[in-house]
Amino acid sequence: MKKILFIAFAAFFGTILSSFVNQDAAGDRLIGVWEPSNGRARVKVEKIGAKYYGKIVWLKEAVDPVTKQPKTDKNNPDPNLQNVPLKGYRMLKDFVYAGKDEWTEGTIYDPLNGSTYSCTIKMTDKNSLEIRGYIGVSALGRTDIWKRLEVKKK
Amino acid sequence: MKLKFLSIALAAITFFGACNSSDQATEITVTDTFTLEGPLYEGSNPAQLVYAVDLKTLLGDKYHEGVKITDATLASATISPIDSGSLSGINSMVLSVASDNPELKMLELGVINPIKEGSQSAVLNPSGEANAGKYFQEKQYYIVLDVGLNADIEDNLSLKGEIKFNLKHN
Repeated sequence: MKKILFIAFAAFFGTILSSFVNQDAAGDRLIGVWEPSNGRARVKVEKIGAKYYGKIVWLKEAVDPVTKQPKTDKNNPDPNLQNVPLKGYRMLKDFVYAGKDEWTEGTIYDPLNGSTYSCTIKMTDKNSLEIRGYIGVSALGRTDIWKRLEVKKK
Repeated sequence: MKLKFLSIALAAITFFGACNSSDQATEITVTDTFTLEGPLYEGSNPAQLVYAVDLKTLLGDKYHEGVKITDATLASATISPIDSGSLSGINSMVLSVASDNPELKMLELGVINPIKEGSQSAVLNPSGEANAGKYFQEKQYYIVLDVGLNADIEDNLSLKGEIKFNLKHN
């Protein structure tokens, strides 16, 4: 009897544990390098703790035409942070996997105007994302399609 | 009517003044090693620390039951190499904090860009606005150092960080 109970408990906790592991693995599908529809940047999604962040790893126009130096976050509302390099900047922040191919609770930063918007990410297939930035309610926003890039490993 | 308004305003000012006057300030120092595991690539490479918040140790004699950190601003952050004598090959650094708590958004605390070639250490310029107070109400959070490299590096890179925060608490 004790043995059967033990097996039942083990199976129960095993199921719970595996659902957490599967949830984690499902969320990790966001990890990779993605390109917005305008093709002007490439964004690498990484994980810090339990959340997902996307930083700019490539810019089509990486050099500031005025200063002739690598672009920095010159529109940051905090003047002390305006020399943060744009290449390397995390424009996607704090995304949590919500299940059903959606990542929520995050923000997207537009370096062109220094504005941060609420954002949700929907994976429509393994190589496509719908990135929706909005203010206040999701209905008031704009959606962009990002495509996954295959990265050649050295 | 005007007198009533003035009385309410005066009472509010007195109340909030009393609240503020009980706040205390403490400077704390976090010293730890950031390790970036090679191979590292040209561009930005992150290193992260899990920082366990222990208010008893941080505040020492000022600690009491129910103490709450309301403000935490970066006072200074100095990053220096451990293995070699200079920060050669590193062109920028950005220091941030992040948390697993969905209510806490990542904050950039400081930056140095560019770093002069041959520098022995890098002193980051603190953000003028970032307040990490709520991070000190968590059990733990992540300190993230993004290191900008001029070129690929095959080996690990270890950097010592001395990070000072100004804390305000009750």
